[in-house]
Amino acid sequence: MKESERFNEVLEECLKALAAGRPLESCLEKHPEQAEALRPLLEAALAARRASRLKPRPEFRERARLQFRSAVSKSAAPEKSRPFHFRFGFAGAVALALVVLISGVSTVAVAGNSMPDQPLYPVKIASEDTRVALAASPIKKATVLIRLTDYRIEEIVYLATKGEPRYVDMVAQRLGEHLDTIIALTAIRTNGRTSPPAGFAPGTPPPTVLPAPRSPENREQLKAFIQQRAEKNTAKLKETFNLAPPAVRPNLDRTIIRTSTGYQRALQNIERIAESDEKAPQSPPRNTRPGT
Amino acid sequence: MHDEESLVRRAQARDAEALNQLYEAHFEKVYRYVAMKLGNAMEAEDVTQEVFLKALGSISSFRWRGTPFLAWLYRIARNQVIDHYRRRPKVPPVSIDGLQLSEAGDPVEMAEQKNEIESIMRAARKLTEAQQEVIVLRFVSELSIAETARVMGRTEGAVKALQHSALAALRKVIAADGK
Repeated sequence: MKESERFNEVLEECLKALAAGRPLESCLEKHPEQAEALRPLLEAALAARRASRLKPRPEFRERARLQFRSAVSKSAAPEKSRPFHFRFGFAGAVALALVVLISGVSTVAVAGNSMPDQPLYPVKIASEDTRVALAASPIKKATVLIRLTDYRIEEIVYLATKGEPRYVDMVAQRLGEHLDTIIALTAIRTNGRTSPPAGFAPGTPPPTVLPAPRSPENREQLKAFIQQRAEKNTAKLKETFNLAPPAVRPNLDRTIIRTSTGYQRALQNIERIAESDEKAPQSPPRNTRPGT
Repeated sequence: MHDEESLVRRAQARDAEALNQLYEAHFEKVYRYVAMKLGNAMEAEDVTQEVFLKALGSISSFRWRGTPFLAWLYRIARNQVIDHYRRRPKVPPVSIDGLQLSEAGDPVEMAEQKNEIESIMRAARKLTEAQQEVIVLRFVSELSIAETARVMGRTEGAVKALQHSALAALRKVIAADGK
């Protein structure tokens, strides 16, 4: 082994000792013949090691986490089967229940009012995800998501007023995801006048043990609810646009267009299904036995 | 290591939980690496986010050959830092405004520590690219010689020699700056 290689081995041995918390002098005493050359190098290493105490700002950490999770949810594997989907919903509910048990109901309640630049915001998002996962039907899921769009709008108004364009974009992205899901859910036929389940002859009413059909009233209620939220939230965003600092206006402008289009597409889906149902031949309600 | 391998495989299958776990495990290290390379806290935030989004997009290309996942992330971070300089050829001033320290002491002590870190960042900029890399990986990211060698694509012997010259150069720059 060359002299320089031998020295590098000793240097590495001393660096390991420093990393383990041993004092610099102890290594120098162990290698007195190289102490003079080692000391400045070890002192430089100790100085450099101080930078290992650097940490990201908590606000940045939260913002970055939110952005990453949003990107993950977009790229995540599609759910393949109902039991798999249910398992995730159930896991979410259990996780939230644990949060409640450990930290107290008040934490989740307080988190409900938190904003994206506040520490409890991830708890708010987690509890919202659980609410969506536990909603039993497409209409119920869509209703929960429409309420969540209200929260996103409130957050965007708050962030825009503070002049935080990057946060506005992040929340607007989540708002867009809610709207996309609402659009997809409202495209599902919900009137119960489809073919009877396998095993029943066409026209034969199935037994009452089958789940009750979702009534058109629910669909009408959903439509009215979306219309109301669309008007109120779009107006709120436009009002914020007029008062917001110039730095966030382009972000708000994009959000207004995206939001208004999202609600409109959901409404069109509901209308399209209602029209096709009106044209389709009537069949008896599925939960009514003949003569009852 | 076996645990990390299975975690990475799940992440490659787009398992959200595994992706989030990998993110949480490595976020701070990658941020520290980028902050040291750029010497500017605010720009480090943007680049760190880019690193993880890039990693998310290309995780399927990662091949498990015994190299830690973090080494792969550092390679992405290194390329992102280079791209960042290409996009913004004017090197920003060293600024640790907005950087935090892991242990919050009293304000005077913290200010002193921040000054020390700022001077280390300034000194590191005067080293060669390879010297800077070895200092950051070994002493800021706290990687072993073997891990550093994998990230840098060099032999362990070469890293030890580079470490020696980098520490000598750093010592010289710190001493000169202190005069």
